[in-house]
Amino acid sequence: MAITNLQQDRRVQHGIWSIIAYILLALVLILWLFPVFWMLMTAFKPNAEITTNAAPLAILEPTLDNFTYLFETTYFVKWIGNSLIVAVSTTIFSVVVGTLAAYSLVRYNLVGKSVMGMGIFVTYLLPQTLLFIPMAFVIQNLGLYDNLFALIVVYPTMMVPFCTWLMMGYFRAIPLDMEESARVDGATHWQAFYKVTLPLAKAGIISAAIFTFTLSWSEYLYALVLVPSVEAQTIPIGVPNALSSGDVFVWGSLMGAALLGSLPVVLVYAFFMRYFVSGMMAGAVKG
Amino acid sequence: MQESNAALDMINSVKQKRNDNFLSRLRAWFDDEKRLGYAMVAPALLLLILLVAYPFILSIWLSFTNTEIARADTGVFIGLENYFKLWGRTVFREKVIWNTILYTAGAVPIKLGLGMIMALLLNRPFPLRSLVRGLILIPWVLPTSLSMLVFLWLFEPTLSVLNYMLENGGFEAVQWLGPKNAIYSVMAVNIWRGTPFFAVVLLAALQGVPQDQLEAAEIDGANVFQRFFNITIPTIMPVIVVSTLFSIVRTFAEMEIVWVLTKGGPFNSTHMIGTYAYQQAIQNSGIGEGAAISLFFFPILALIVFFQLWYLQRND
Repeated sequence: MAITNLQQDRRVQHGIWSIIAYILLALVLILWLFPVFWMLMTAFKPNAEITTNAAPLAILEPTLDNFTYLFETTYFVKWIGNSLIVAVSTTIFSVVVGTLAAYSLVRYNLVGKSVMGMGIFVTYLLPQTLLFIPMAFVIQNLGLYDNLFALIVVYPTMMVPFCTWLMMGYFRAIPLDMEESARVDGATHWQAFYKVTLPLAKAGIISAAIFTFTLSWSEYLYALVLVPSVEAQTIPIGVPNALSSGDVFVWGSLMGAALLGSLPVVLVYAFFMRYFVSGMMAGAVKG
Repeated sequence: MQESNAALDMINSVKQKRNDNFLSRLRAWFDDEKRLGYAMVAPALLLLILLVAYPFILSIWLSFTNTEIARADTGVFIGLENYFKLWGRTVFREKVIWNTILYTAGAVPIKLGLGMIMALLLNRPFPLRSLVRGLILIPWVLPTSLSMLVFLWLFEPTLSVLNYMLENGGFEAVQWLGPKNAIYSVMAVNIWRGTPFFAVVLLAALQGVPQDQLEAAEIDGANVFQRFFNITIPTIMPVIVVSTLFSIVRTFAEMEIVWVLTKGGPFNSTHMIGTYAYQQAIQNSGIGEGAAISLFFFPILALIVFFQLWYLQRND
């Protein structure tokens, strides 16, 4: 009797909790996804509907004019190209350099190993806001100011520490015995790394690459400071600057640009979600 | 014809052999733990020394000079003058420093709390769960300067849908980015962007909470809150601590959200260290002064780094 009551109590409690949970979940989804929904809506609205606010939550006559405006009157295509060049170069460079450093720091008994590991962790935490002024100075002295190449030089300073930190975690988890037996069979140290351990760390490399690509694609402050010319800019700088100069905002095209400019990272995220989340955990939690 | 071919072959094979010798010697020389190890770590180390350590030291030097953009090489040592000048400025003390503290102390705990609630909600079984889990991280995945444009549009005073809904609901329109509200709007946007990060990280941590312990506690009569505070929280504590420290650094070093939404205005009401450093150094060309502003981050950053290193070491 007492037990049945307890079970019944528990069932009622669970019922109440799940109702509360569903209400909260709906609220969370509305609050967090509404801006994204609003970006989508506005991007396909004709200007007349935007400025009269006739039916805010509906599109009466869907249009692609906002995108046409974007392609015809701005450097949008150029910015996409610039962002791709910067993000892809940074990704390849940072993943290679970071993976090599991580392996060396995990496997080999180097003098100053722990100091180097700590240094990489500390540089990973440094925000751009601390370094952008001297960085502008250095880039100017290198003669790279207002050149897309400046970003390819600077972004690895954020991304190499990240890739190294992430890959160190992966290499630590790979057991030594396979490498040792390869060594016994006559493999060099390099072969043991390249042919035995590296393939086992594939998941880590994918995480590092995806994350590096996303962060380089979205980076704002360095790009704002180092590359002022409109044709040389990347998406995160070009779009807000060009389409909101003065007090005239072209909302439809701005939302269209935000939508298209976000698409590459959203697609990468959608296709590699698992790797993305493990990169996040490694980046933010283990380090 | 035949002969010349034979001669060519011979030359090639000699070349080949010389190459092989060189390569194999190189390979042998590098087949040493120390040599290979240092060679592998060298590119990363070189990069960090030249483009992180050197700029950092340079920024300390610059902060003691009156360097300006127009005369980049001719800055003169002026001691602590930049720091005194800054500290004497009301905008710096009452807006920049205060806003940075308010912004961080206000936004981080809310992001953590809401992120925890989100994680717990997403951890329960419900239809389309994996889709929803994927969607919830989108605000964090979007390039920030682009998602800020949506908020600029939502906060627009006359055409915005937010004010449209308020007015149709019988309320007054709000000046979202007006002098009184701007700092709170900007904080709200930071919370919008940062909460999904906590949610996903904490959700991953929740997978590691031992289910059998939770069930055993439930049978023993522990209620939801007792189970949460006595089992769940202690298990995921390391993740909470480290992700919160990380978020503190990212939040007080914030620049992008504020810059796109308000440029520090109206009337300097949303200026933070990051935006003010940018304005003084790049827009007003005071490199020395800007460097000094940026360095106000340093004490807090150093404190967090030390704490984090200590915490990581303790937990290893």
